[in-house]
Amino acid sequence: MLAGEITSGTSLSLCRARIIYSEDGVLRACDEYKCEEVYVDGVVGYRPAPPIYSPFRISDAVYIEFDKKILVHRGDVIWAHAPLEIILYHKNSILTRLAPGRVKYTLVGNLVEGVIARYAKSRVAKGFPLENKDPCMAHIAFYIAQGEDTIKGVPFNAAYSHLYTDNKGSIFYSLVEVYIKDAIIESRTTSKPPIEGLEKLKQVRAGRTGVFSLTAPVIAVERGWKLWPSLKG
Amino acid sequence: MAIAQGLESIGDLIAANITKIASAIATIIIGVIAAYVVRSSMRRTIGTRIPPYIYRPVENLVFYSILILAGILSLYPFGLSLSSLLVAGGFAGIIVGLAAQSSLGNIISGVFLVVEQPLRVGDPVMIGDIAGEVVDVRVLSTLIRTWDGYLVRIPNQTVFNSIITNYSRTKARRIDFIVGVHYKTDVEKAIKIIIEYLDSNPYCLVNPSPEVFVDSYGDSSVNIRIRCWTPTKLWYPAKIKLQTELKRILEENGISIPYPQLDLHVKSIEPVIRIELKNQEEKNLKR
Repeated sequence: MLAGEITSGTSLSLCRARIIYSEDGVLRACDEYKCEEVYVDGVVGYRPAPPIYSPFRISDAVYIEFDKKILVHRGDVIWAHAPLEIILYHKNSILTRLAPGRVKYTLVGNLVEGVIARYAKSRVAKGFPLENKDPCMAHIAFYIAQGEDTIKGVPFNAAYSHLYTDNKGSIFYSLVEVYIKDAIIESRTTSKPPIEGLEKLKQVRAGRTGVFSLTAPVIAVERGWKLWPSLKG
Repeated sequence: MAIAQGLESIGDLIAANITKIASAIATIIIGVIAAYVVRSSMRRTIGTRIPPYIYRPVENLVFYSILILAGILSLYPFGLSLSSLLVAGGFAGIIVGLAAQSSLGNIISGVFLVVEQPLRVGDPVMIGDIAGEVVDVRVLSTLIRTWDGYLVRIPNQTVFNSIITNYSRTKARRIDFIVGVHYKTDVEKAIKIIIEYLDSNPYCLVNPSPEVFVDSYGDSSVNIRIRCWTPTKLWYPAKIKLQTELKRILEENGISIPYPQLDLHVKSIEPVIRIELKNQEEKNLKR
C-alpha cells in the first residue's frame, strides 16, 4: 500500500523511490530523477496521487497505451493500469513528490493541437480488474459511453481523478468515460468509483485555493494518434 | 518692442479664454486620471484571469482610447467638435500621415500582430536574427528580452515584415545533434546503447519516437545523428542533459568519441641517419 506514515530514524522504499528520515529530523526523499532534503519535526505521511508533478509539471494528461488493440462496444468497461506518484506531507503541507517508477511522456495527437501526456503501457482486459503485480500502479477502468471501434489506448485528465482503495490495499482511479466519435476519442474523468465498495482516499491539496471543479475538460485526440512512423519497428 | 507686443497679445488671448483653457486642462487631467484608474482596475480584475497575450493589447487599446477621447473632449470649449476635427483631419491627416508614416505603419502593424498573433507575450521567438522571449507587444513596438538578458525594442512594422520563428506554438520540439565515434567502434552496438539511453530518459517522448542513425563518415569519426523530441518547455534542459550524459554513457560502455587525428605513414628512412641517432643516444647514455 502506498499510503502510510514514516517516523524519524526509519527509512522506506516505495518501488524505485527511497525515503530516509534521520533521527536529527532530515527527511531525504529520492526517486530516479531527483533527491530532496527537508527538515521536519513529527510524523511524515505519504499517499499516492495522480502522476502530474513528478519529475516535471508539464501536463495533466495521462496516456495509457494498451499492449494490444482492443475492440470495444458501447457499455463495455475495460481495465488497465495507470501510474501514480507519491506525495510526502506533514499535516497539510506537501513536502515533496516522488515518481516511484520510470517516467516517460508522449505526444498524443498532432504537434500543434495535440497534448503532451504522461505515458504508460499496460495490459488491458474487459470486464474485470487485471491482477496488479506493481504496487506503484493503480487500476483504472474506462467505461465506453459512446461508439465502438478498435482502440490502442486512451488519454485522460489525471488532475481531476480521485483515488479509491479496496480492503486489500489496491488503488483505483475514478471511472473514466470514453466517447468514440468519428475520428476522435474523448475522455471524461469522473469522480465516481469504478466499482462499488471502494473507499475514497483522502487527498492532500495544500496550496490550492478557490473552487475545485469536478467537471473535467474533455481531452480529444485523433484516434490514429501515432503520426510519425516508429523507426524502432 | 515687437516681442513685448506679441507677449502682451498672447497674455490678452489667455485672459480672454482662461475658463476655456482651464476647462481643457481639467478635461485632460480627468482623462489621464480616468485612464490610469481604468487600467489599474482592469489589472486587478481581469488582468490575472486572462492570458497576458490577450490582456496586454486590450489594456493598451482601452488606455490609449481614453487618452485620445480626453484630448478630443478638451477641444470642445474652443468650438472644435468631432465633425470639425474630422474635416480638419482630412487635410491634417495628409500632412501628419506623411510626417508620421513610419509611426502609422507601426501602429497598423501592431494591430495586425494582435489580430494574427504570430507571437504572444511570453513566447520564445526569433525575429530576424534576434532571439528571445516576448516581453510586450505595444502600440508602436514589440519588446524582446534576448537570452543574454538584454531588452530589444523592435518596431512593429519590422516585426510584421520579418520572418518570425515561434518556438512555443508546437507541443513538442526536436533535439538534433551528432556524436562521432571511432572507426573501430561497433556502430550497431553504439546505436543500441544510445537508443536504450533515450528510451530510459524522461525528456525524450515516446511518440514521435527518437531516431538514431549513421549520418556521415567524417575525417576522424563515424558520425551518428541523434534526434529526440521533447516537450517544448523542456527543450533546453533536455538538450543539455542529453549531450552531457551521452558522453558518459558511451564511455562507460567502452565507446570513445575521437578527436581529430592524423596518421603519418613513413615509407623509408635512410639507415645512416638511424645509426647516427643510435650512436648519439649511446653517447648520451655514457655521459
